[in-house]
Amino acid sequence: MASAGSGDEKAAAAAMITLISSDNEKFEVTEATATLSQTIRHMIEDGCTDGGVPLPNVTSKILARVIEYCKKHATAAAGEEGSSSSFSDAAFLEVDRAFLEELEEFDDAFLEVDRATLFDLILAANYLDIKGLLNLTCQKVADSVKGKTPEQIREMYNIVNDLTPEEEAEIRRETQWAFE
Amino acid sequence: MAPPPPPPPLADELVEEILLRIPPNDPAHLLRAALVCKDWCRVASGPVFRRRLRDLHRGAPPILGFIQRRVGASTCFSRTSSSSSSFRPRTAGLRGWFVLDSRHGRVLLAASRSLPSLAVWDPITGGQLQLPNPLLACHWQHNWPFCVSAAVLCAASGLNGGCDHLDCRRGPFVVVLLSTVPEVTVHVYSSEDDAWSKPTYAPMIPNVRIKILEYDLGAREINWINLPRDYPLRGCSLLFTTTGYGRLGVAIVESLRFLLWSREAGPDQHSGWEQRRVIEIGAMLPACNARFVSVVGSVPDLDVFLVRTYDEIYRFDVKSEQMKKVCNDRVASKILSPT
Repeated sequence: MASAGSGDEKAAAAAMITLISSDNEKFEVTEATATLSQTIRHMIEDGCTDGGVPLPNVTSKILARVIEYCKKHATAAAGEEGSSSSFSDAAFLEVDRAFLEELEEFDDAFLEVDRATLFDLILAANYLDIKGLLNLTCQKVADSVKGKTPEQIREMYNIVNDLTPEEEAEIRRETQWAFE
Repeated sequence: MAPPPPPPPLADELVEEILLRIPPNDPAHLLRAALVCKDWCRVASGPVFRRRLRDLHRGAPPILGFIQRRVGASTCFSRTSSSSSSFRPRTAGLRGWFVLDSRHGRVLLAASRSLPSLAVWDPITGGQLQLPNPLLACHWQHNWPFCVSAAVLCAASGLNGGCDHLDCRRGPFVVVLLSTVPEVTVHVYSSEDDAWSKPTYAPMIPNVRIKILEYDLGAREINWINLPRDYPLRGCSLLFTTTGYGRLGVAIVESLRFLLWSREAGPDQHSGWEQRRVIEIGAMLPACNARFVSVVGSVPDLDVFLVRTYDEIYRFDVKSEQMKKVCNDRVASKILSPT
């Protein structure tokens, strides 16, 4: 269904960009995939992507995951644009729904990572300015925090408690109901 | 196998993105997260975060419960049946106190003692501050505290852009107390002075059935204003609130019809009532006697109201015209402060 796009999109999809990770690994991606990142989109617009885009804050392990996400979601975006012209067509809507479900499944599976990787993905999504990925990863952490005690949250994410016992006691005393 | 490496530290802006997405149905989730470390605590208590959190849930803030003044029983907090929140303010200290008003995170209490006693209660911390007794002519013989009506509000209210009321519950406040015995007077308490003002006397009560008394805090003046139209005292229920931009609003339920009026400034600076909505609510409620349907609470400025039938309470969102049951209740005489 993605092939229903216009000629411009095909041209854009054909253009390739090279991304270079902090450990100097090179990734070839289509422009459509790369421009899910606002940071890279601006670089393309400014014409400074010749010779590859160095991303000194992203390791190859994380960049590979981010590209996996962008590829899937770039296809989704193209699919949406292609089908919007035939909005009334029930068959297209059916395809759209199936695609959205597939995308949700993809996102769920994508988030099955250890917590350090999850934080790395948040940092990369922020640096590369990929709104969808930032939302997805932050929501995952927020959901995991729900219903946990401060001690459990610290343990889950290996966070050192640097509140003084007095500070902690004061907050607990003021809002005792939240800790019972 | 080696333990997983510790996650990299996150900048404040990213901690903020995470904390903002914590499900809002139970404020305890966020409070517990705020106790994880200094960074998380600082972010969660910052004004930027609070403003973003409010804006995010502005359309549909969860109603966790309400404070009720029950006939023949003490004041209590009732959770809504749909709420999974663990918020349970300690109401043990409220024995013998009636709730007069609540606003900006504070609840105004009155005790039925020989002298008029008032206190301000913070439901989050459970702290209670006793106010000096107002020099009122009325006392228990005049059915104190039912011979007065009162409002508690942040001291910066009314000052343009002075306060967004997101975190002012520890700050200065004022209490406006209207007494009708033996004549109509207004006393104002300021927490900064810890004292009551001299009384302001109302001009002669006009000869009409119902009038609204407006007290101008800045000018310390009393004015009488008319209702949008002459509503009968029986068979309709009225609730004053503020609608968007802090304007005075009145919600009226009359014969299964919900009316919302707001007071708008006209071109010649004279305020007049404008009918904002008329909604037939009969079909949204189970078959019930229209006589028992009334409007009993509101979330200021959000056009969200609590509507009760004989034994149930509903949350009514005027914008989306959605009516949703929040709890069964038969005994509450007055409901204040959706929290």
